Amino acid sequence: MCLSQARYGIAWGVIGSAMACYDSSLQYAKSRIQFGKPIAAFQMTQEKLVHMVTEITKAQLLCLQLGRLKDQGKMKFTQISMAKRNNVYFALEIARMARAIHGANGILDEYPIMRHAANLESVITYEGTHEMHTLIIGEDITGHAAFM
Amino acid sequence: MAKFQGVDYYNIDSLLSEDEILVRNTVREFVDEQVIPIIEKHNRAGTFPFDLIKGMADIGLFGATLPAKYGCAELNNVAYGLMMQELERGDSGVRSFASVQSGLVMYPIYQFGSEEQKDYWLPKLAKGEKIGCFGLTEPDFGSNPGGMITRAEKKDGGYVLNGAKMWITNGTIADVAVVWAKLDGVVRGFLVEKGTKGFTAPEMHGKHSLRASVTPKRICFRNRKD
Repeated sequence: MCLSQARYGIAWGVIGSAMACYDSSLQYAKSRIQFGKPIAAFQMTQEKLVHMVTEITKAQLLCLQLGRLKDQGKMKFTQISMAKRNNVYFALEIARMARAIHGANGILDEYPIMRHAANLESVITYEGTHEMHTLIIGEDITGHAAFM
Repeated sequence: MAKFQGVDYYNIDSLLSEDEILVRNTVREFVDEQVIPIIEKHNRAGTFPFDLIKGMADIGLFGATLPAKYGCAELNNVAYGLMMQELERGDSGVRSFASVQSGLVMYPIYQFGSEEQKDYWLPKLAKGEKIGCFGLTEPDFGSNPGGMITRAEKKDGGYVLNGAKMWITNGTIADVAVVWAKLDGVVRGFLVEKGTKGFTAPEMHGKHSLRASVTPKRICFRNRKD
């Protein structure tokens, strides 16, 4: 019950890490000039930015509905597992993509990227590992507990 | 860098109430003004930004969903979630500090504590005058309560705890620990105050992650008695 509270907060929290990484990446990509134009004008940078903003949007919607269910007293702990599992996974992926967009600058603490990336490496295993949350949802939908 | 304007590609703000947006924006501003300017310094040094505690309390971050009679903000869960989102835009370690204080210390005290424990601890934790931590995970059994080794024994009108806990966010700075231990084979929660005989929590060094958050190497309880 206590862990559900903390996991709920984590599912929301990591959207913040992801937003910080996306925001920094978008600004960097628009201002960093390579081959005579901003790197934001290149297809492979756009693909990264689009992936980031799409995953952030999906995470926001997962959490908002989760919160509304919690406020109505209808939330299941397996639904928290889905939001924690999904949102941390994609926040970490977004942090790594942000590192790539920032190039070498991405490793400096002038930008928040590596700090968020390193932090998220803890968050993906604490309060129930990614794998454990997978099996919690797996049991819920199949009726078979696969973790012991 | 330009001021953060939020990320809202689907006009999700239209699904939030005015109060929820107000809470979100208050924390967003706090993070821009108080957290981001100092966080890299703490992350480099591996220190917890104590100076942020009062500010976090002032904007109602601790125990945000609990009743106003304990000095809490009594917000809904969506507003609380938005607070955590904005705080982590600053840093996951700072958000972890607030998550532990709210979700793992204040919430169990509110849910399972006696009236006396609630009246004593919740207002102090809400104001940030007292810091809490949560001791479940053990060095040998991870976070599986089934295998928990820490034992509690009833003795002289109180309880004696023996065991060790590991990976306890806020552990080195906590005034109170919510500790889980087996009493006659059943997992029960105990409040252990800092300074209790046999209670030690030396700091862990060498973390490459959550560096602006403090974690003890392990917390030990040896023959503790109330």
